Amino acid sequence: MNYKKGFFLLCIFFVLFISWAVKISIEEDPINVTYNAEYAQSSNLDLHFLKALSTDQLETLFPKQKLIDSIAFENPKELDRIVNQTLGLIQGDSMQVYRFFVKSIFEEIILKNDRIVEYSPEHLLHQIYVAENFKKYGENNEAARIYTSAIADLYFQRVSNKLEIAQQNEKSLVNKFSFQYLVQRCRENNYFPNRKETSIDKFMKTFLENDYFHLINTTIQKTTILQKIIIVCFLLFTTLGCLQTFHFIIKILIKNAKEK
Amino acid sequence: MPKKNKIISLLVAFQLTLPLLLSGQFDQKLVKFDFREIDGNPYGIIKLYMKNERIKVKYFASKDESGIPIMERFNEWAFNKKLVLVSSGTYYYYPNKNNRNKNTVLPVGICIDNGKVINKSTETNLGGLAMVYPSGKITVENLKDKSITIRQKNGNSANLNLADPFDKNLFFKWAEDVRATVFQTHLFAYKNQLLIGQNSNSYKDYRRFLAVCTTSNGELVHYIINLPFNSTILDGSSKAIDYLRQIEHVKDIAFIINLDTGAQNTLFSYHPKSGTPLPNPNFSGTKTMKDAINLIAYYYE
Repeated sequence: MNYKKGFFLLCIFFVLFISWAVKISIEEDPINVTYNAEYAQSSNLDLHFLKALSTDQLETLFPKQKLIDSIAFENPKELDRIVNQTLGLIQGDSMQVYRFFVKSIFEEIILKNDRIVEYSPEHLLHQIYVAENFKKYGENNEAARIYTSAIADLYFQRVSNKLEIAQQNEKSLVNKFSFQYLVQRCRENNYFPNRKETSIDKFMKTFLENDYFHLINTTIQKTTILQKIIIVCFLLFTTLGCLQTFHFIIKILIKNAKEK
Repeated sequence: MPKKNKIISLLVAFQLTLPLLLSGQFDQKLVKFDFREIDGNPYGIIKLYMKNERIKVKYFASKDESGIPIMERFNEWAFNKKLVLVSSGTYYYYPNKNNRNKNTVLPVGICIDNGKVINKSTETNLGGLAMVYPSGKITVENLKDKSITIRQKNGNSANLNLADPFDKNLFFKWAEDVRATVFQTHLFAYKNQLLIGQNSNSYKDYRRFLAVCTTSNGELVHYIINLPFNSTILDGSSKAIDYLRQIEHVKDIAFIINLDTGAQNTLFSYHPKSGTPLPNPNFSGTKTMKDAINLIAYYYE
């Protein structure tokens, strides 16, 4: 192999590296980050029939579907009014009432919304806004905090799970602005969607951490025979290409020195 | 000086220095180092006897809210402590794959550091929930059991299901109240049951486990089992259990959790008298402390 071929191989390697670097840069992906509170201000629920009932009967008698259909449940102030009204009517432990609202109503609501299977940044952003509203309401209302923070956490956990699943299904999503924005909003609320690493990610991570023993150990174990042959050939050609290039440079230098 | 006074002075000086000479770093009856070669494989074992609660646990889960890295936090805390051993803890990841700065890493799964909530996201693949109390005790619960036991400030126990959003919120509130440190990790064995199936990951690597057992005498002993040879998680944890049963003859295995040996393969064991790190590779890791993202430390008090 002469120096021209070695140099040509180096150029190919360089071009591949640059195209990979360009690929991993952030892709433009517009997302509407403004939020219009379109939830109903009032649910018009009549709860007087709950008077003197026990908390066990809430599950069967509370008009859950009417509350869900009114979308007033996304209004923390209206929900708090309904919760306090229920607490005033029902005979029983207040913690069981809070638990009923969080589990039986919100988990059912969240499950209903989760029928949106595809990655939808606007839908997830809406859930984040609802969660933040509940969290903020709880920070200003000590009595309501115990269940509003649970509702907020429920929404954030769901969004976090959806982001993880979406990223697993489409690896290129991590480069999109909308995805990174949603992840950042979750992180601000102590929810960190785990990013599953690809084999190349793990390779780069181990290489950049100078963990060469681990790198070689993993490469030997996880690559097929064909992949091992390709790696060895790649290293061999790169080394030969570098040697040829250095040889060429030294020849030029010597030639220039002789001419002088 | 008269001869009699000289003798008295020497005796007094000897009496004053003798306790200092004998005290050392920690009580050697409470920490034992053992090395075995079983089927050609090296096993480095550190046994920590927890009776009288002289040996305690501290966990550093993450850099703190002002961004002070783990090593600095650890050095500040360890300044006047009698260290027994320090090891890397659980898994971490880079949230931005284009930024491999170690200051950006995050712990995987639920993470609370001294009552401060770091990460509320539950990692479904890590079934072990470890809780380190300010008193220096560590307990591990199996998240898949759907009921974890917590110890409240008044000493009462409570059962919570972290799959329930309401209970999960109570759990975070409890952790803030008692200033607990909580992290998720791989749980390999729980209440005498091996939890790893045949279809587990076949990747081989060096392994390190923390096993908490009760001996036949009813003593609580923590074992750091260091396996500096390539094994799968099933193979490694099976070997650890076999060692505990057949060689240590433990009565019960409360839990066995994983201690990360990948890029943060940090393990320092300290000499009982001088307090200097032991150089023996069976009781030490391959990385320095500054490579660790989180740390579990055993100390004597």
